[in-house]
Amino acid sequence: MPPSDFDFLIVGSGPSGSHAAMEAIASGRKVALVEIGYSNNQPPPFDTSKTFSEIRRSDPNQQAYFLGDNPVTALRNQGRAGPHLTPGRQYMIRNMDQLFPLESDSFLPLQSSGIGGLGVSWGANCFALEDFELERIGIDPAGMSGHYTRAAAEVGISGPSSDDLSPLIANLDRSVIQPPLPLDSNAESLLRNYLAKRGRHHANGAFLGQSLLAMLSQNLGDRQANALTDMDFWADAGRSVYRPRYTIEKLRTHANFTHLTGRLAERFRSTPDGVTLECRNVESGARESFSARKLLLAAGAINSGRLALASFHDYQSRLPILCNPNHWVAAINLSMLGKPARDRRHSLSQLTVLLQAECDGPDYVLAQIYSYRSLLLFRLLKDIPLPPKQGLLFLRLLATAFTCVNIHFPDRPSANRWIQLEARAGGDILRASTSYSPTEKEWIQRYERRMLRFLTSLRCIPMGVNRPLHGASIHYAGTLPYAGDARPLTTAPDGMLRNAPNVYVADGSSWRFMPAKGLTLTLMANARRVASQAVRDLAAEDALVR
Amino acid sequence: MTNTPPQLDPVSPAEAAVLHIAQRETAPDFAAEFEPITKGFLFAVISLGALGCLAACCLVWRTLTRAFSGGAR
Repeated sequence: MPPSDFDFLIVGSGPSGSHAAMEAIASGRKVALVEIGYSNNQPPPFDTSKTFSEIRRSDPNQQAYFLGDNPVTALRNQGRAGPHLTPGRQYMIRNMDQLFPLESDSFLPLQSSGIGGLGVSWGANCFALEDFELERIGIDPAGMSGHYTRAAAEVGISGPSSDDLSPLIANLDRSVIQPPLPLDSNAESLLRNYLAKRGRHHANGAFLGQSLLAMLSQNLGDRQANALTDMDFWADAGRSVYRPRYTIEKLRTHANFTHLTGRLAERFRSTPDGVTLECRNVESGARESFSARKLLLAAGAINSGRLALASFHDYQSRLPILCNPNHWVAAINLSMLGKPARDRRHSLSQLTVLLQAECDGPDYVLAQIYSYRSLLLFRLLKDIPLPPKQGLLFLRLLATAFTCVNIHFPDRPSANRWIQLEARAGGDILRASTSYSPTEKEWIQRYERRMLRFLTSLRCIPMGVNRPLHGASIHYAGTLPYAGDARPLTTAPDGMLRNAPNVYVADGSSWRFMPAKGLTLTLMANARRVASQAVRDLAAEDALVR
Repeated sequence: MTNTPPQLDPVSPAEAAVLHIAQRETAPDFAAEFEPITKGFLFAVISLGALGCLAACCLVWRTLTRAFSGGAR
């Protein structure tokens, strides 16, 4: 048997890949991470000591970073990628269509070619799932708390030590959670209104609390506490908000870590002795192969699915795809109407709502509450049925009371939601289709109405609901799901891909359920769990040889 | 449909109007024009009520013009 180039090869640098690599490198083994890895290494293009309003009043160069080189594209893309994919973060979707071709009239996902994967524009909401949710995904809850703790320690999380949500989302070692950042004026008034009728809300199965965020309230290593300048959408000032590329930078300081950027993983060949990964160099077009004893797939559910189908030359099978349906609600907080708001705030989610739901057992519907300010008013103008001048006046009157609520619904596998590889003359392409049955739609509508009623009870009046095309939640999973039987294109309970010895599924591809609670922290913890299993397996093989 | 919507369409008049406002909103000289108006609850309610009536008229006008222009074709 020829010696392998590496002990572990990891595909993808997002939340899963970066944390799987961290776990593998801790074992002292030779680790390589393969990715496209586009980056934007520019420092924040503005004075990071100034708040959003100060910058607006004083910086003559602000158009360059607020609007970017092509404001028309930015304006048209905002419905697709969300306005938070600001010009400084657009590198993460560079060449997306060429690198990850996908064709669909019902599913429009975002795929990342940037270092850190979809974590480049992550909203930083953190959730440690409850045991019943992990079991439904297919993960054994035993032992997950240790992986959650290690992921949380790397990420740096701030949030309240105890509120109504803590038992539901923050079942974590308290020593890794920093104190919460202050709420903004809008969120403070909503929380006050909630607490005034807390008993009634609980009886209705509604819980509100401060969001648990991967955003520092105290310095951590070379990262700084959030300066509350409300510029978090525009750059990663002080590295206060966690991005997976920080973990990749740490990995690069290890002598036994190799970062293979500019490579698109196309196929793997696996044998009982090891794995060969075939890649295309995206600059030169040259084909390259790397060998390893173990391969960890962490390219995200869509691309890990694509890689598995291409490796098995399977153009027939349809893989399931999970993605949270998500709706945006524009609402007005009457308690803030006409009142000034504090200038010092952070821009990310302030509050989280959990509604108890019922669907094949207990479940939740989730909403994240944002106070709209630093993403600028012009983006909202096109949705207001007034001439621009009057529309602007309307928005200025609402500015401090304007509340954006992002509702996420859980997702389950269905024959109506799938991806499939298709051979074309110019190369393989993924086709996708997603639709919901009348019963599923009715369930979503019912809980949307409940969420709107809850918001109204906080004196936060919904003005309109935007239901973007499926895929806009940027949460994807379930293409190679855990299965107890030995069906092909599924994942065994130990994390190994069926019929592919030495190939492990380290990302959300293996999930057979997608909870409404954000998946990112669990992706990181699960990637660590799978990587540690691969490390143990390798050690066992070495012990056998000796 | 592919991953990214096509970007080659010409800029529509509505987009041009929004872009004009975007450029103004990101110029320090016009910052005051985009500051929140916080003159109290009553002022906000009365002003928003008036703008709401105007918005309703705009919607009716747009619906009518769309219906008639559709009929003309």
